[in-house]
Formats: sequence, C-alpha cells, structure tokens
Amino acid sequence: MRLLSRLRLQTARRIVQASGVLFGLFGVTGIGMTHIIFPGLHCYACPLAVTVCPIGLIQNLIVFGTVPYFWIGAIVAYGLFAGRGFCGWFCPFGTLNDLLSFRKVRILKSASFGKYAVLVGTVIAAWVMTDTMFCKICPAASLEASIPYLFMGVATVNRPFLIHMASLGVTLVGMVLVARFWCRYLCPMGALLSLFNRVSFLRLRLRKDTCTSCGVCATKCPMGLEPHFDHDNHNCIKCGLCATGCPTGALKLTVSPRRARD
Amino acid sequence: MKGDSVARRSERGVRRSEAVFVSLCLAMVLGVLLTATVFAQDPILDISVFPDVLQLPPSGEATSRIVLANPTATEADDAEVFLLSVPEGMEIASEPEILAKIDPFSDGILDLHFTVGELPEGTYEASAELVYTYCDDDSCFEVIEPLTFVLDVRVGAIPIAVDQFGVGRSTAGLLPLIIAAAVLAAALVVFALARKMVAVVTIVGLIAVGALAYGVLYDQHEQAQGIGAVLCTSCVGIEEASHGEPNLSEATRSELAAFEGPQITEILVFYAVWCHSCPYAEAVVEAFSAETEWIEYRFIDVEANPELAAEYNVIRSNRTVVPATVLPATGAVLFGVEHLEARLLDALRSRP
Repeated sequence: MRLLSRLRLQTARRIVQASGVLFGLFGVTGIGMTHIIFPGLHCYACPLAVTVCPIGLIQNLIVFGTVPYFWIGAIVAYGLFAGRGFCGWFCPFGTLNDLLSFRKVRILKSASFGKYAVLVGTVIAAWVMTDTMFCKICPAASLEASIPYLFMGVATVNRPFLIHMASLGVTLVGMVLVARFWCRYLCPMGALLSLFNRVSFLRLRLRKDTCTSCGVCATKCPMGLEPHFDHDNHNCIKCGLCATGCPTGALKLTVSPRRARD
Repeated sequence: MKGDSVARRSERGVRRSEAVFVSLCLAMVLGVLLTATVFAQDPILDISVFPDVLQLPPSGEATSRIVLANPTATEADDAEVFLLSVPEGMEIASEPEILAKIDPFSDGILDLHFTVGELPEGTYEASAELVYTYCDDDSCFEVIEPLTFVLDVRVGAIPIAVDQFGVGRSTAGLLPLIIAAAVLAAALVVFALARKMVAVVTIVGLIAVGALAYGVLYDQHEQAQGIGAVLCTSCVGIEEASHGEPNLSEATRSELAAFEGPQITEILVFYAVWCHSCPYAEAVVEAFSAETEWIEYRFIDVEANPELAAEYNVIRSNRTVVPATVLPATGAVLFGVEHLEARLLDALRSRP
C-alpha cells in the first residue's frame, strides 16, 4: 500500500470495487452456489450470485435455531482483516452508494446508530416471525433479485415487488441527497463490520506531527466524518479519500496487524 | 546516522513480530485441520436425556425423553434404544420404537415409558444403548452411545412431565459457545482496557479461526451453501407466502370435472422443508387430485433430490426455486403460489 502513490490508491480502489461487483453480482455462472459468505450486503438470490449473503444467512440460521459458528467465524475474520473497509472497497451496494455520492455532508450524525437498530430489528424479527423479514424490504434484494427475476419470468409485479421498489426508491433518493445514505444510517452489514473497525488490519493512520488540522479531509469524507480528529471512527469505511486529499500527507491508509495504540 | 540505525532495528523487530503472528495463525489452522481429521468418525448426534433422575411412585409410570439433536449436515438414520440391564419388575417401552431418520440441523425425540411393578422404595439404575447410523459419502458408520437412567422410586413421587422438553428449535451446541464467548469477552475487555492491541487482535483472530473451524466441523458451510442454492419465492419477497387451505372455486371444479379422462396426468411439487409457501402449493395439488380420478401427484424435496430438480427444469441460473409445480406431460413449470389454481388449470388445459 505504501508503494502506491496517492492518486493510484483511488485507482486501486476502483479496480477492487469492480472486482467486487464482478465477483458478487456476476459470479462465474455454471459453478453454482459456493460455501463463501460475501463480505458485504449482497443478495444471494441474485441470479448470478455464487456467494451467500451474511444478513440473509443469519436470518435463516435464526429461523432454524442453528448456533452460527461458521457465520460468526467468517464475519469476525472479515472484520479483523478490513472492518468496514469492505463497504468502501468491495461491497457492490456500497459501490452504488459511492457512485451516487454527490453531497458529502455532515448531517444527522446520531442517526448513524440507526443501522444498529436495523441489525437488532432484523435479528428479532427473524426470531419472532420465523421468516427472513429484512430480505423482503432490502434494497439490495430489490436491485439484485426482484428486478432480474421479473425479467426471468419467476416474479410478477405484485405487492412484495412494489414494496421492494419503494424501499429501493427511497434509498436511491437518500443516496443522492446524502452521500452513502444507506451505508451511514441503515446497513445492517455495515453495523456488523463497524464493530471491528478498531482492530482491523486495514486502517487509517494519522501522523499528528504533520497534521495541521486544516480540515480538508473532512470535506472529502463520504461518511461525514472528521478524520483529523478521529481517524479510527467506527463508521470509517477506509476508502482513503481523506488520505488522497490530505495536503500534508498526514493521513495514510495501511494494512498491517495492530501492535501498539496507534 | 544513529537515529537511522535505531529505526532500522525497530523495523526489524516489527518484521519479526509480524512473522511470529503469521506463523501462529498458520499453526492454529493446521492444528484445527488435524483435529478435524482425527475426529471425523465421531458421533454426530448430541444426546440429552430429560429428566436427570426419574421420580416415580411404586407401581407407577414415568417417561424419560431422549432428545437427539443433529447439528450436522449429515442425516442420521435408524436411532433405536437397546436395553442392557433393567431392574426386575420394571418394563420399558420406547415410543417410537425406532426413529427412521433425523434430518440435518433438526432434533429427533425418543420417549421411554417406564412402568414399575411392586418395587420397594429406593434408587435403581437401568442401562441401555442408543444405536444409530450415518453415512458420509460412501462410508457408513454405526454409533453406539451408552445411556444410564437413574430411577428414584418413592411413595408419593410425582413423575416430571417431559412434554415440553426438546420441542421447538434446536439449541445444539449452545453451551460451548456461551462458555467460549464469556471467556473471550472477559479477556477482550481486560486487554482493551489495558490498551494491549496485540492481545486484542490475537483474541479476535482466535475467535475467527475457532468459530470457522467449529462451523466447518459441523458442516455449517454446507448448510450455508444449501440456503443460498435454494430460492424460496416468499423469502426474498418475490411473492407473499400463502397459508391455509386452498378452496377451489366452483368454476375450477366444474372445469376439472369436464376434462376428458381418464388419461392419467402426473403433477410434481418441488419443495424445501423450510419453505413457507410450499405446504400451500402441495395443498392446491392435493385439492386438484381430490376432484378428479386422473391426477396423480408426487412431492419432491429439492435438497434431497437435486438431480430431479435439474431433470424437471426447476433450476433457474443455478438456483433451485421452490415451490415449483411441474406438469411433466407438457413440461410446464409453475413457480410460487400466486394464482396457482388458475395457472395450474391453464397448464392442464394445454396437456395433450
């Protein structure tokens, strides 16, 4: 990572994001579903998907009453490696959020805890109603399952379809109005990965001696954070836009196991 | 110059700690894999017996419930209790006598009814064996588990009702999770408070590797794949789940009666055990069959018969879609349950 110059960091991110879209949405067909849990919000019902959606899987496991060791292991491993870095670098729905990030505003900071409510609500709903309730309103499923299946003749325009379209519409409008609207306030997968942001190998480093607290990074951050004050925020998606924009090079994105308090 | 060499030396130290970290992780993974191969032929069922001590009055009856939790993706077959030693004057009957199969990730229940004759008060022991089989690819194993029942015969003892035990969702394997989680959480809090990042990262890594290995040992990766590979139409909101009895309309009944017979027509319903709409699709086909003499039907579990699902074309882009109602005579495949009555009637009209 250190070898990459600052501009090439964003090029690398675009390439990784593209591979995330290819791997997730257009997984090589013919091999069928694999055992891999996708490190992002991505519908496993998507016609070409070859990976399992972690949120969809955990709901099913709760319905079955299985203690989800495999799922926990996968999530913790992903979290340890990159934390929310997957939101900024890999998740196809995150990439859509990214492409619609026009207004990088710092508003509704406290609403970012909404995603934990969504996560807990998803789990409780799965337990109480023994059904995958979140999947029925998930905008990623709207985009990756509802619409393709409509064209494949499996789905028809009915009430569940319209609910999906409504949730997708609201999310898209939100994304246009507030950069990374879904990732910031609502994504249950982001909520899960954010728990590991402080221990993840992929992380942002701030050199306090060179930082002039100019605040340029805060204007670049799509998540509405202020990296010069809090570079290890639980909401940081490690996209590195702040590092790219930093005039003094005080912020850097690095991959290494954590040793001391840095 | 001096500062330079210090920096280089500290960098070397950093590299060494990285190497130690990586090799520790590797050693852990290797250890887990080794353990997995050694214990590959282990029993797969978690057996719990309720209650611990059977309390019953002389000349009374009591029931002991054996819950066989199957936390693996492998089906267990022919679970049966064989009595070894029973105190004289005591009779034990098993209900059911034999459990033909215990599905993956579900529970089986065997009730043992104890009847004592004129036994004096005291504590008795009965021993038995639980025998079951399971197959992994081509090799099959028979597992024998010893069971011991402690009976407390006392005047005035009231047997414990076992009806509520083992009913509902399986919680097989919960205890190790709780213990491990408690220990690791305590360690995490201690180290995080002391700001020892190395320890925190190592513990999180341990959790990841341990949980993954345990999950793979219990075939949970297969379960995840199975969940992803079958698409139930109501699950992701392609349609609403339908429940209850389908009531065929008068028009459908009369049209069915008017169909030319008696050419036998087969209808297949592909289902998954956990699919919410599948019972409704089955009920619709049953209702059709009840109206006529010439409709035969078969229900096929897609998870047990993937080759049939492929043969009858209910797979869409590598995903088996359930419920799917298939008319082999015309090759019509009807997904879901929305307007199934009308669609099925329509499909029947076009049969040769």
